[in-house]
Amino acid sequence: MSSPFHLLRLPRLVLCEIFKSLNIGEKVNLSLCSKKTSAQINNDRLYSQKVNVHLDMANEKIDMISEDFKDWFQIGIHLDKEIDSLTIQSFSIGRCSLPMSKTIKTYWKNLVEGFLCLTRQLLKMFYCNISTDRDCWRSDLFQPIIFELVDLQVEFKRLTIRLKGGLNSTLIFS
Amino acid sequence: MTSPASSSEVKYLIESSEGNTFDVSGAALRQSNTFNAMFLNIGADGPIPFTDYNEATLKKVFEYCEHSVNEENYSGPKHQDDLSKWDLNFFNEMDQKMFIDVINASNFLDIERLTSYCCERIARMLRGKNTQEMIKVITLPTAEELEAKQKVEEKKAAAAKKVAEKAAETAEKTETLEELPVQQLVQTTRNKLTRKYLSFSNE
Repeated sequence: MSSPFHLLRLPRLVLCEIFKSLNIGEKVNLSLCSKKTSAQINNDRLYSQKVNVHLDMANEKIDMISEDFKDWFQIGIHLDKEIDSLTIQSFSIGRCSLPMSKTIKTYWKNLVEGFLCLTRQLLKMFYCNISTDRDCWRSDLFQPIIFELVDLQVEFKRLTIRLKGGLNSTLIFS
Repeated sequence: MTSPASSSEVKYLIESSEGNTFDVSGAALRQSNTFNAMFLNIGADGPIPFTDYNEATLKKVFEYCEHSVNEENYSGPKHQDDLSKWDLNFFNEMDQKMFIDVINASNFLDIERLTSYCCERIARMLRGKNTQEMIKVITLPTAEELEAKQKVEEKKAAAAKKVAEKAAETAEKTETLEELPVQQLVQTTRNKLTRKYLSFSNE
């Protein structure tokens, strides 16, 4: 079966079974193939795995970890004014090159837009628990992203907020 | 021949899309939840029609069922690496068209084991690949195909709109035709009444 396979011609229940057996990264990669594959994966969100989505504004990346911590995936969000649309490339951290399927790098004109767009897409695909890092409030991206996510009424697992004026002014919601 | 029975020796006649019939053992057929729900308790007089699928596909599906009759009870999907030599041969000797037909038939007949192996096999094709590699594996409509499809849909929509407009026009015409005599009647009675009123007032 070396010739291309007509995946979207399969019955919906079969597609659902296939999506169930894919891991987080494979689902993200498949959803980026086309609008139709993305829509099919979104349709089967009910049967998807629960994913902890960690927004790391300081390091400009989103980490996704499955509930049982066995599976993970990372999306890098980077600013690139020369690139108009979303492009995906292989991604490596420092000297440690990671497998291609575990990480992707995305380029955006606006980082806030990148974070929000990807988070919205992940919310459509998985059951997401969103969390942020303790020091994320220092980032300029933190406020607009969190405001938007609160408006979307997403479920937060952990959210750290810095209140102005107080001595011990950091609040952690879990 | 096609009476309800629990004995595995009972044979059922299956009819394919070509109209051909062939025998399948009751034990093999009972792996299909669709068959269990439709015929097991009530039985079937004459051949059971699975006429959406061709003979080759149905024979392939029931070949698998016949083989897995003697295997232990199904306990969830197996990993592809756990498949036996026979299973691997069974899948490898199919071309893509036959594979898709078998998935569709297996899905319709609700044969859990076969469906899950087929799904696992497709998932394996996607496993460990990035987006570009996945696009090569799965056939996605090209921009030209999408454009052509969109044009066809637009044409269809335009045609449907025309038909709807014509229907609305004819409906309007019939309405006006139906309304005309009533309106005329009202007008004539109104004229008569005004004439009478005028004649009274003159008197």
